[in-house]
Amino acid sequence: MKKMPNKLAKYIVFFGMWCVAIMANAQPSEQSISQSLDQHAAQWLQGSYRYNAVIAVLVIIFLGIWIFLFRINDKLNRMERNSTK
Amino acid sequence: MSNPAINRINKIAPWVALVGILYVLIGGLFLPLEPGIIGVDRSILHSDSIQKSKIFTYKLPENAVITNIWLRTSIKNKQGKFDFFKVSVDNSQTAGKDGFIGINTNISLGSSSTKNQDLDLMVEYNNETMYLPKAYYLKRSDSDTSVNQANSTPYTTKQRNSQFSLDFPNRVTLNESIRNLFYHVPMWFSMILLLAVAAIYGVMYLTKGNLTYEYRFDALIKVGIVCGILGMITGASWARATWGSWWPKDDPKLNGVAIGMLMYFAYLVLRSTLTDPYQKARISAIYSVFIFPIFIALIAIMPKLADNSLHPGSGDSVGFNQYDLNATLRMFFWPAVLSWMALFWWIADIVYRIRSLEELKLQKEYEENA
Repeated sequence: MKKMPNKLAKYIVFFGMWCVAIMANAQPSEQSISQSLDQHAAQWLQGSYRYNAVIAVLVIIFLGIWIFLFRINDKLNRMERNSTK
Repeated sequence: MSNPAINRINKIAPWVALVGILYVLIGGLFLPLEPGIIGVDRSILHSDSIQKSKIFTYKLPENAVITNIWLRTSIKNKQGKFDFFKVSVDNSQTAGKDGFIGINTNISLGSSSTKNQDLDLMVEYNNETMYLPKAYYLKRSDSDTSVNQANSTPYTTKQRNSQFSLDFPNRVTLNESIRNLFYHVPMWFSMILLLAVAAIYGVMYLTKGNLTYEYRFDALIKVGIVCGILGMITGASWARATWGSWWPKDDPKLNGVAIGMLMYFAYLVLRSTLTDPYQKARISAIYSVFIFPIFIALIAIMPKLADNSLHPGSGDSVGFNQYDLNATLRMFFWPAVLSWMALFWWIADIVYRIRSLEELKLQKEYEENA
């Protein structure tokens, strides 16, 4: 039971990598944030692979934050169990 | 102190946050925007003469067949209806490779009561309708003899919104930035939820005097302030993209938010000046209970009473739910609200538990020394 968080973290990392792999293989989506950003940023984002990469980075950052919080959560569970002994 | 319902929420919140935010992050950024009109190459149309214009579109498929183009008056006529005028297409009924449509307009107003006014543009293609409000300004000619109003009318926005399609609506000025709806609005919804629960815990502390309630409302308010800061950052970047300014000064909602956030920053300052734990808990509980309704009045009620506002749902502007959300946006917006709320609720719970353990440790040390 104690090793559960590490296992979970691995599953979540695999899930994240799977998401990234799907994105990397996605068809060019012609996505852009053209009118809403300045022209240089919009031109940079016009390439679909760059856009996909930005989404992949955002997903990885979110997963990182989530895993960080989950580990704290788990540590707190253990500390709370110890404090009541 | 431990409530089974709250314990259950605390257990499922991380998973709701994980699944929901991944869904919103990936789907919300990957789904395309529906085709729309970006602008036109001239601002004034004169009646009673043939005039050429170009319509610039965004994401219109190369082989899209333009079936009809209408110009609609923005002021209702004496019969309480809008006047529609048909427009002929210049380039063989299909959009050009670069996404523009050449048109010829020939508006005749005759002896009708139609005055100089803005004209809305509607382009129907492949059974869909693109819309650009106030595309042209109509100047009527004195020599108009006949009226050439259209017999048919395009799909209304309501009809369009009732059709299901997996793309986001292409709204004027919002365009691609409409995806920020999944981040900006849920931040404020989360903040209101956390502050409301904090006010309830404040009342519970004042009635029962248990310091655990103080740890709860303090954690909720601190995480609520973080939500507010994130809401301001996402809002300021959205305002820069759509309204051209990071912080439009005359918007009542923004002014309300500025005052409201300062009140909550004052909460942090107030707490830092007090040393006695019971005094600190009592004064901050009273403060948190009283500023919550004032905060709601500042960000939700006062902007609604104002004459005008840039924010949807405030002043004279229509609530965003009535004209901005379509079925696809709702598919992402409500899960976004739920999952961001779950994430911040979970963070507030972690902050509370850290504080509880710290206090417990201090208490144990004190007992050992005594």
